[in-house]
Amino acid sequence: MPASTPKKIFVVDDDPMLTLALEDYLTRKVAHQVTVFETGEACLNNLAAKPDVIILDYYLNSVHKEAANGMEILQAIKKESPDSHVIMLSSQERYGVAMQTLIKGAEQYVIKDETAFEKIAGMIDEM
Amino acid sequence: MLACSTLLYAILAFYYLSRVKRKTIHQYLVILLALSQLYSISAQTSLKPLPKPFLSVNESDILQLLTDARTSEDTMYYLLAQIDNLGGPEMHAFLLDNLTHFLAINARTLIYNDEPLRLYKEAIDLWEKGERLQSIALQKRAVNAYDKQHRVFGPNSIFPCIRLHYNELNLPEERLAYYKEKLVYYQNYGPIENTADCYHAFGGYYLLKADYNLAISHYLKAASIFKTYNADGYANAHSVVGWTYYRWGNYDKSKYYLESGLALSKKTGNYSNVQLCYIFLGLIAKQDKQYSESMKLLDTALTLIVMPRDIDVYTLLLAEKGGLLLIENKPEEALPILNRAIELRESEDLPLANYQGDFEGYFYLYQYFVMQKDWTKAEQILLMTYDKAGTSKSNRQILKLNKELAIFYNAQSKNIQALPYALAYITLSDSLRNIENTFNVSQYEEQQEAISNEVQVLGLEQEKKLQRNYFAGGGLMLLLLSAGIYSRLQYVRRVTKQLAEQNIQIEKAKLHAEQSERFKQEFLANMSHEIRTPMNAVMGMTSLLMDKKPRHDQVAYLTGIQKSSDTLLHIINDILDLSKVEAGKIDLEAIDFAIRQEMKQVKQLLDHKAIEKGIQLILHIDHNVPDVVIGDPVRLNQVLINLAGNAIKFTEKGSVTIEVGMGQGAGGKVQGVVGSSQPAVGNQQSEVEGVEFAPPENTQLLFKVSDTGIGIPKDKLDRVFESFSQAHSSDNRKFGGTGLGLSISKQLVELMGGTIAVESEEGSGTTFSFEIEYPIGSAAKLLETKSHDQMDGSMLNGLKILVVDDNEFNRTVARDTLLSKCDVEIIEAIHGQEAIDLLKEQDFDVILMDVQMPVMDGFEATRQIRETFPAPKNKTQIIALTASVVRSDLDKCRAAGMDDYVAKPFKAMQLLATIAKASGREIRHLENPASAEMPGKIGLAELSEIPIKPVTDLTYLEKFCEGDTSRMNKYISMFLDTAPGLTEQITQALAQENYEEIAGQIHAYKTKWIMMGMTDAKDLALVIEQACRESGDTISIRKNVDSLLALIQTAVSELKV
Repeated sequence: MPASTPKKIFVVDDDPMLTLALEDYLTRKVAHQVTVFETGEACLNNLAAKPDVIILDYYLNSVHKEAANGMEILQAIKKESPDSHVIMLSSQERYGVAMQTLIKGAEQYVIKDETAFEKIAGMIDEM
Repeated sequence: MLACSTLLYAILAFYYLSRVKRKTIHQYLVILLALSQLYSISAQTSLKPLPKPFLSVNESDILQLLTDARTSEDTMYYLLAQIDNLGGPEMHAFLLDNLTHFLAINARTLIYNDEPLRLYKEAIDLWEKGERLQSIALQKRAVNAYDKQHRVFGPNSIFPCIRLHYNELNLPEERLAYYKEKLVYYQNYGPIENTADCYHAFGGYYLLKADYNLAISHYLKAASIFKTYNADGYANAHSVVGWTYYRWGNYDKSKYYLESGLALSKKTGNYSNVQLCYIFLGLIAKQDKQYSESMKLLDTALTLIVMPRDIDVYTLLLAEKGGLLLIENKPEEALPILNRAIELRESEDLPLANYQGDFEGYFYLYQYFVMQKDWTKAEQILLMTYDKAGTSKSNRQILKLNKELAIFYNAQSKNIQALPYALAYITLSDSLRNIENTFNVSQYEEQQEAISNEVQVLGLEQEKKLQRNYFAGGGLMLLLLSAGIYSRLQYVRRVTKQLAEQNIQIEKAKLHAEQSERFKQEFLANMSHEIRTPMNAVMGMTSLLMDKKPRHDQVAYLTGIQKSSDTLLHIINDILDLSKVEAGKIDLEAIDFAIRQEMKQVKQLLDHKAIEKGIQLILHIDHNVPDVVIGDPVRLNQVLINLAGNAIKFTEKGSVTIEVGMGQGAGGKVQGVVGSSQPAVGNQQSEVEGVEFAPPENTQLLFKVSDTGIGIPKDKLDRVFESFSQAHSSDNRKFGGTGLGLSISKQLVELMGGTIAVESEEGSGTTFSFEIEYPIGSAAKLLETKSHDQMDGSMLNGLKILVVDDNEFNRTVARDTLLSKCDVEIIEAIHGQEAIDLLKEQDFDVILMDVQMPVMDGFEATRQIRETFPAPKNKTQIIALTASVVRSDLDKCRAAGMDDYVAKPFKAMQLLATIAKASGREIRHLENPASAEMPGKIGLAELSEIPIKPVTDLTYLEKFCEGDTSRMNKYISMFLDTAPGLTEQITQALAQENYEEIAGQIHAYKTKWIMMGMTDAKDLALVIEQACRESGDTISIRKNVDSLLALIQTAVSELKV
């Protein structure tokens, strides 16, 4: 199996525990370059850095009330750089939500559960 | 004059009322007329005539009626008389509420004297509160109550509604079992008409299992019974037969029954049936490729959507309409409709999709993406739909999806991915067909045909690929594989079938075991609570009477009551104990205690029993035994009392000896290696603890209890530790007791790290022995242990105490107990609201608060005091008086803001000590004296300390961090750092009733629950979040938030260690 090449990854989530864990997990085997943003706006401002993958939380305004939600950010990302790979991350175990994000251009949809980290790492390897 | 005539009517009404017992509901009408006369005369209004009965009642009619129901009592009479024939469960709840309101004005007792109605109303209330299993249990009781009146159930009455409720809970097997039981009942005792609903329920079960043949035969049987007396049931049965045939694929028969069902349902005014018939007729037209006809039928059905609860049907309709548009090659029009269907479906949390509207919606959306050639999305959606179908347990859906996935992957040349689905499809369709054709002979040909079709499908798809010269090798491989499948089919089929059968057996056994375990736990919790409440009054009042200088003969009776209630409490504790030990829910204490003292107490306690029987009780303590050790004195006491108590019970002459000496492992003196190898009385934990090599600190003690009693026969020796077994079968009666003592002792000893052994010779005596390793303790720490047994109540003098309890006997006990021991002022309230009103006017030092009370319970009252009262009243000390000993309830007490609690039944000293502590008048006692109250003390001490199962589980975190502790600590401290903030924000949001905020806060915590292994918190958080977003019941949100905060609190203390 070919070793995965290091990629530039943006993680957008306002839960510090999640971003820490995700960064921890993703940098363990491959030296991915992970940048964490607490809000979608911050991520948008840095799109010029051309990330290979963006891992985007669906529900982004639980802490920062005025922040835009993941769906809006997803649309903005897709508008600005249509070719970027977006993995949508959510605790919403609702298929309708998943459908909507996929329709709006997300590549993958991952539910935050015990297997989420593993799934994301696998997806990034395959890209 | 008016008063006089009103009185006359009242007498008349009560005369009628006294005669209504066990009469049918229609006779209420007569009574109600009398009442209404009473009401109208006293209100000086004229009597309105009863409205004419409606020919067909449907829900919109009822809604119309109910809008002015509160003013028109005549309407209510009519509805009351018709209650069995109206609406669904929601309508019943609404109706019953209105009736209750109305009757509150007239004669509140009426509905509550009618047992079935009362039970039914309670059941619906429970259902709405989300306590659904309890609700079903209550509904069943209501049905039994109706059965006593020998009633025939109408459409939409409680009996058929249980079926729907089970559906919502997705419990098909339980539902089947219930209706089977009732079928036997009605066949034996009648009314025979009620068997129709049973057959109908069976039909539903087999439909779910895709056993269409059996489903239809049961529905038709129901129909033949309904035909004579229940037009709606008859129409319903025909409609259901129609759509079962549709599922089965027999469209001719389906059409016949659907048309019949449609006509019948139109007559009875059952519009949801009419609508469903239209939908399925539309689907049949689609099968016949008459697309415009199909669209017309579906549109007709769409116009019939009236009630919001038809959402399930509505989504099916939208999905099917979207599907039709796809067929007509109008994907742009189809997409928004499909999206709407899915959105609607997602916005409703319907546990079981009766008509699979969601499933079809997703499926068509998949087809949409296929049409758009967006393979990635098509694949994702198909896989998601597959997951969803897996949870809905519908074989038909899983079958269809397996086939679709196989075809899809094959078309994508992903043969390896296609293979498992193809295999699954073939085996599943095979087993389904086996079920379906249990009563059909011509299954073989069909099967063969289907199998070769399947192979052809795979092959054809492959040919296309070959033409495109694309992955030709893969194609060849697939053909080979297909051939392989074909030849191995017989084998696979046989093995799968066997496996499936085994799995069913295992599942059944597992379910059964889980169920009975759950029932046991529930039963124990309930029993303990139910018995404790009256026991508190019995024990409390007895001891109050004892203090009132009773006559000599009265003392004898009172002592009898006291002893009997002590025994009763002891038995309850035994049963509770065993269940806790078995569930691994006992936590041991590790405190310094004077072991010699402790042993003397055991002897003192049992002395009178030995004297009564005329035998000697000897205590022997080896001089090498240290004075103070660290361990759990209560549990050690409990084991010794059990063993010695038992010994006394079974000894008629001679003696019972309790001994403690040095065990074999540690030897007499302090030694280097502790208990590393002992064969006979093996100490399982010693090896583990031996690793610590802490030589001067451990001691191995050997305890022995021997008697000269009847002994235990050899063949029974190995069974003495089993629950519910005494050596001689007649012993139970002769020696009394629950027979649980030895079983508990064995498990407690094992919990303390020892093994219990028994030696016995029949006729000459028995010896029980066990070894336990204790760290040696320090005498200094002993002084910190205090006891309140010798407290004098005077320290409480001058306090003003509010006693809040709805049970007057328990109020009396609390009041008189306090007044007899100290000089305090007592005010009483009968529920939380009254307590709050009193607190507004006066100040109290301490409030003793019962938990479960009508009007306002203790939790709510405490919360209000803490949150809405100005300082310093909001800081009034509140002590819960609770009969519940369930940990979660005690946690709730704390979460609600109570300062302490006393478990009922309580001993006087315990109550005094808790009040003293709360009011800051505590006095520290420096000794740990023996007490005559030992048995009660043991029971109560441990009851109020039901140990908790840890709420955190770091297994996942450990795996995630690959065992790296510094990493783990990083996550743990992150959790610990944020927890107080979360608690504060949630509490604040709760006070402001900002549910959106609560949902947001809780939502952001999901990863934390996962990392800390807080499964309960995770589940609870989900419930709260959903309730907050859907503006659910605020009381239950509060309740759940409290529990969540308690969980976080516990987690913090667990993780801080």
